[in-house]
Amino acid sequence: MPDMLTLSAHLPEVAFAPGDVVVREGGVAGGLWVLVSGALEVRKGGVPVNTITRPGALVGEISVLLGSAFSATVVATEPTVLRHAADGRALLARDPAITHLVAVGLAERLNFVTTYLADLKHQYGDAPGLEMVSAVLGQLAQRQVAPARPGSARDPDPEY
Amino acid sequence: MRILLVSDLHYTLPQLDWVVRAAPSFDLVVLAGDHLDISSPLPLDAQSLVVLRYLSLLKAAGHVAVSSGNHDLTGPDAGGEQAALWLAEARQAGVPCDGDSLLVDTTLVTICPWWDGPVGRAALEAQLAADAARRPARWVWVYHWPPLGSPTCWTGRRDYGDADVGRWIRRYRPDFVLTGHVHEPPFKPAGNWADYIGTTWVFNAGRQPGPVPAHIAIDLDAGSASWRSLMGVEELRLADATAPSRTVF
Repeated sequence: MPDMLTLSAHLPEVAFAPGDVVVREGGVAGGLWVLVSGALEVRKGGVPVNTITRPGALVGEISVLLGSAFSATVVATEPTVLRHAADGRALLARDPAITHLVAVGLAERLNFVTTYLADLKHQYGDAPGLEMVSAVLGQLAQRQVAPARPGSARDPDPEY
Repeated sequence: MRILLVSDLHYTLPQLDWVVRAAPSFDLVVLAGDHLDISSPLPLDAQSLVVLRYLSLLKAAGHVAVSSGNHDLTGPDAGGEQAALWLAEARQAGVPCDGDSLLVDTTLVTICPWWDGPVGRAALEAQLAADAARRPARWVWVYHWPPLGSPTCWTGRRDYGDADVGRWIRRYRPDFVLTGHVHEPPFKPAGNWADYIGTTWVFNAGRQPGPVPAHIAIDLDAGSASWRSLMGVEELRLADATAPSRTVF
């Protein structure tokens, strides 16, 4: 199967200088980015949590799929080129091969988290909350429910 | 009979761990609402799944009673009012929760849901009326919000209570009402973790950070209750029939 770089070749490319922000935490979602070259740093709450250097890596796919704001800020740390789909949802809708690669990437990351936490539980699991981690992750991975709609009309104060 | 009251854990996992470990020392563990936290970055659907597992652990340890709070609401019920829909899974697992009443020895425990509109309010009134008609020697309510005008709802700046439960207490005179919702009262000099209204004891343990939740232990056989928190320990005699004087300040 073609890789993401091949499949996204038709998208326009955008160049970023070191320090340029690609997406900002809490910003409006909708666009999908594909890394062509260079390096990115992922920051949550201003704290670096990850780096992205693999050509073909995606930025913004979770926000596109969930229709939510960006959950992290992504900054170029060296001269970097990304391809950009302004309407990420439309891109996924019309290109099943890209959608498949997005799904594979998400499944891989879920598997990383699940296996890491299962090992964590194996090594440290003497607290009830830790002992249930792998089972909870297994359930979460399978869970398909209507999203919760929180909040009380009678007391809407989130402080209480 | 020993009762442990905690509330407003707001998805603080170390505090839930503590409750699981403490549960075998009590005959009844009461979680009086706000198990979830709507301000958490973790979606409520994931939070509720974890809390359901904790509730199963508590059920395995003994009697447990779980009421909803305003943070636990996940969507509209059949009446179109917000409700803790996820607690239906707890009930299926055998955990007494919203709308249930259970008998522990000779004590009737009425678990009041967080009501969020006239339909839920009417349902709760019907539940209270039905249980009043069959009340045994001792009647306990689990109700998230303390009554208006009680030091158990004093935030330090305002009286933040529920007027309806105050009226229901005066009407039905339960022996105990176990609450939460307002986090500050036990930690304020003019507030309190206990109050005596008519012939009813009202308790609210409050909320504190750290791995151990503020909690209240009620020993019905010994006729005593104690509040434990980072500020210290206070105790009362149930027979004294008056709100305890504060000693931790």
